[in-house]
Amino acid sequence: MIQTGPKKDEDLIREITEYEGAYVPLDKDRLVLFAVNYLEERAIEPTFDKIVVATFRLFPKKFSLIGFPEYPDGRTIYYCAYNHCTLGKKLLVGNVQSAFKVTERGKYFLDETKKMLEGKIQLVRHYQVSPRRKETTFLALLKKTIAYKKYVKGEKGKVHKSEILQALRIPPNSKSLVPTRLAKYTEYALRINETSVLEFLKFAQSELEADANA
Amino acid sequence: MPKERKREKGEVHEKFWERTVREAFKNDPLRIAIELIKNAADSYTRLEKRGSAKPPFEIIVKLYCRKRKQPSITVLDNAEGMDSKKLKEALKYGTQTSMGEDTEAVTSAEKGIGLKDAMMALKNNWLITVKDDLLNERNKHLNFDTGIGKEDEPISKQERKNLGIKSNGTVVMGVFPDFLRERRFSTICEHLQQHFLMRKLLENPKYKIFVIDGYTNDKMHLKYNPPKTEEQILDELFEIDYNRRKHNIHLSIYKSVEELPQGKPYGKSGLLFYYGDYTVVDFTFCRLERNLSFSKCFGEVKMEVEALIRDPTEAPLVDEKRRGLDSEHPFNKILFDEINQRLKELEEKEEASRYSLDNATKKEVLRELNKIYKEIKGTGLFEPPIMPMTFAFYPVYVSIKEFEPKTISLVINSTIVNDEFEISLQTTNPDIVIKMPKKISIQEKPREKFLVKHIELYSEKAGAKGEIIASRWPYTLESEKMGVEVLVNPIFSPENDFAFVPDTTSIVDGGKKNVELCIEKNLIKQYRRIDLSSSYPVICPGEWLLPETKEKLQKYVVKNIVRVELPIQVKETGHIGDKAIIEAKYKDKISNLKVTVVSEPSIAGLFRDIRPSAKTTERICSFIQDEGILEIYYKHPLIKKYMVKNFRRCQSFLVFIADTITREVLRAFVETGVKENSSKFPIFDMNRPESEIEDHVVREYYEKGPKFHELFIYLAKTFKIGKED
Repeated sequence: MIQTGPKKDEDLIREITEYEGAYVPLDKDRLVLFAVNYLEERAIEPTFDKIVVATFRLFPKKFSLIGFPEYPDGRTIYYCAYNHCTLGKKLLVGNVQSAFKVTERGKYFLDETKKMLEGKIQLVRHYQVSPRRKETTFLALLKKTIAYKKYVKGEKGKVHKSEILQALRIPPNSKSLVPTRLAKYTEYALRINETSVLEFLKFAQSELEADANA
Repeated sequence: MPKERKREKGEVHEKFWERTVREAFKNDPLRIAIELIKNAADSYTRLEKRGSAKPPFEIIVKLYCRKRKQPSITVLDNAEGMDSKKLKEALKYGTQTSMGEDTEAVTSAEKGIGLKDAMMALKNNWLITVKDDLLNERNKHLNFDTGIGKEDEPISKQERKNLGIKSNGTVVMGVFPDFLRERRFSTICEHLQQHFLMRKLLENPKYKIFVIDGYTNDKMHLKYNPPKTEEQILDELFEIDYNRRKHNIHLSIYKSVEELPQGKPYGKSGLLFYYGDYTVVDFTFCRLERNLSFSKCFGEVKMEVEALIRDPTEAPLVDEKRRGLDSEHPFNKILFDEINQRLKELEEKEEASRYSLDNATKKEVLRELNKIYKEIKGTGLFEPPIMPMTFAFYPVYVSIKEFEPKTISLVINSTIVNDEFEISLQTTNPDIVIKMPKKISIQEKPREKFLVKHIELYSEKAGAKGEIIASRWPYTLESEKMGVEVLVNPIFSPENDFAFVPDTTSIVDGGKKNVELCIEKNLIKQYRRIDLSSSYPVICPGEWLLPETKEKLQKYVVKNIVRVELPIQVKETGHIGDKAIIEAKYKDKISNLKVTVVSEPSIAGLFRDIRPSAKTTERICSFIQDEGILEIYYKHPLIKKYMVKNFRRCQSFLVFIADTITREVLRAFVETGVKENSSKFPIFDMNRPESEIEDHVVREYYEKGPKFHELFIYLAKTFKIGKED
C-alpha cells in the first residue's frame, strides 16, 4: 500500500461532511471517540490537529465556537480527547505529541456510541450543545434565578423588581448599570440563540422602565 | 440645705399629685433614684450631641443610710445645668421641654411622670442647678407648690466646692419616701445594679455611675453583669408599619447556661425594650411571662421609635403609671404580636429541645430505615440512563477487583417482552463468573417502558479479561455484549507483607469504624500478637491476638492473605481536620495507617431526621416528606399519659408507639415509592390510587412490620423526657 502523505490525509479530512444521524443529544466525549475511530478506519493517523478538524467536520453543531460556527472549538476537543477520553475514561491512549488510539475498553464504548448514533440506543439525558464559555455560564446562572423561574412559570406578576436586578447581577443601588447589563445579556442570548432568555430580558426591560417612569 | 425664700402656688390640686406620685413609685420606689440618674445621663447626652462634652460622663449618687431612718439621696451631674427660666419650665405642670436622650424630641416616650414626680416623691427635696455661673434653687411640695431658694444668684467658689459642680450642673436631693423598704447602702446599690431600667445605661461605657456612702465615703462603681450566654437563639431585624411609617425593630434573644429569675424589676429572664442608646421602657416576655420554655432566655428589643416619640399628637408608648409599654397602644399591639409570633416559634423549638432521642441510636435507625426503603423500592436506577430499542448493558465495560463482587445492569425495553421472555447470560472467560442470575426471565408484561435487571459479577483471577454476552437465542439472534477486566486487588499485595490496605483512611468525628490489616499468610507462625498504638484523638485496642489454631485462622484467610479487621474510634467530638497515625507491629514488621477526622456526612435518603415536636396535632407522629423528617408529637394525650418515668419498662406502651410509627413510616415508603414511579408499587388506577396505596402499606406491614417494631422500640427506649436524668 502506498504511504498516504500528510496532504492526502488533509484532503480526505476536508472531504468529510456533517454526520447525518442525530448526534446533538450525545455527549462530546463519545463524539470525539467516534471521530478518532473514523480516522483510524480510514488509515489516517489520529494526530491532534486531524482529530480537531475531523470532529468539527463530522459534528459541527457540537464543536464550533460561540458566534463563529465556521471555526472548530479546539479547546473543547482537546479536553474531550486528552483529559476525558484518555486520562479519565481510558477510552483512548496517547497525547498531543504522540497522536491517539482507541483502546480495547474504548471499543465497547465506541460500539455503544455507534448504536446511539444509529438510534438503537437513546440517551435519557441530552447534553449541552454550546461550549462552557462566558455566554453559556452566565445565561445558565440567569436561568437559575428566582425572577427567571417565576417568569417561565407564567408568574410575571409576582416578579419583583429586586429579583430582576438580582437576575441581571445589578447591585440594589446601581440602577445606572441596567442598560449595559441588559444589552450584554441580550448579546449573549442572541449569540447562543436562547430565545426564552431573550423574551425574559424584554420583560425585564419593560418592568424596569415602568418602574423608572413611576 | 438651701432656705426657702418664697413659694409659688401649684397649678393642680394636691390630691391629684399625691395620688400620681404614689401610684408611680409605690411598687418600685428605687425608680425615684433611677429617674434622677437618667435625667443626669440625658443631660450629658444632649451636651454630647451638641458637641459640648465628651465621654466618659460621671454621675455621682450619694446615699445616706441609717437603720431606723429613711435613706436620703443626692444625685449630682456636671452636665447642662438650668437657668431660672428653664428650671421653672421643667417643674411646671404639663411642661413640654426637650427631655430624654433625643435632642429633637419634644418630650419623652414616658409622658406624665418625670423630674417633678421624682422630686415630689422625695421629702425635703431640693433641686440646685448652676448655669453660666448663676445658681438657682427650687423645691417641690406635695401640693405642687414650688419653693424658691436662690434665684439667678452668682455662685461662689465655696458653694461650687460644697455642691461639687465645676462648671454647669445639677444636684437633686431629698429623703426617700417611707415605702422604700431598703435601708442598707449595699442593698440599694445591688438593686440599682440589677434594676431593668438601669441595665442599658450601666452597659454603656460612656457613663460612669458612682454611688457613695455619705457616712463612710465608700465608693462603688455600678455595673451590670448580664447572664452567662450559652448561645444566641435569635437575631432578627424587622419592620413595623405604623401610621404609614416604618419602624425598625431589632430583636435579639439569648439562652443562658442556667435558669434565670423572672419578673420586674430585678428578674433577668425577659426582653428589655429600649430606644435610643439606653432608654429602657419595659422588661417583659409579651404575654409569655411565666412560660417555662423561656426560663433560660433573655434578650433585648431595640426600637427605632424616635419618629413616633417626636410626634406630639401621638399617645405615649408607656402606660400612665409607668409600669411598662402600654398594651393598648396600637403600635405596641403590633409590636407584641410580631414578637409573640417569633417567641411561639422559639417556644416550640425550645420545648422540643428538652425532649430528645439518643443521637447515635437515631442515626442508626435512620440509616437502617433508608436501607430498607432502598431494598423495598429497588436499589437500581429510577430511570435508566439509556433507552435501548431492545436491550443493552449498562455500563458497556466494567473493571472489577479480584475477590470483590460487582453489580452491573441490563436495561430491557419492555416492548420486546412477550410471554415467557428469557435472556440467557454467558461469560466468555470461565474465570469471570456471573454469580446471579444465570438467566433473566420475565413472566408478566411489565408496566414500565424499561426494566433494569442487576447482574452480579465475580472473579478471583486478576488480569482476566472477557465478555458477558446476553442473548435471546434460540428465539432470536439478538445479543449484546459487555467487556470485563479483572484488576489486582491491593489487599493481596500488602507492602512488606504486612500493611494496612489502604494506608490512609478517614473517620467521622466522634465515630467508629473498622480498618483492614492485611498479612501475608506465610508470615504467621507461632507468634500471635499484633501490637497496636495510636495517636490522639484516634484510639484503638492496644493489641490484637490472631487465632491460635490454623483452623480458626483459616476463617480470615483470603487467597494468600490474612485479613484482620481492627476497630478504631475518635475520642469524643470536636476533632474535625485532626490527623492521627495508627501503628501496627508484628514481629519486626511495622505498618502505619494515616487517619483524618472528618465531619459526619449528612444522612441521605428518604428519612433525614427523627425529632420530637411540640406541635399539637391529633396524630402521634407524622412524616414531613418535603423535609424528610419524621416528627413525634409528645403533646399527644396518649404520649403525655404514658410516657412518664419508667415508661421503658412498659412493653405494651412501647409496642403501641412502635406500631404507630411503623405504619406511618411504611405509608411514607409507599407514597414516596409511588411518586418516584417505583415498579415495586404498581398502581392500576392512577387517578384514584388511595386504596391501592393502602393495600401496598398493608402488604409491607405484614412483611416488614416486625422488623420495624424492633427498630422503633429500640429507638423509643432512648426517648428522654424533659428534665429526666
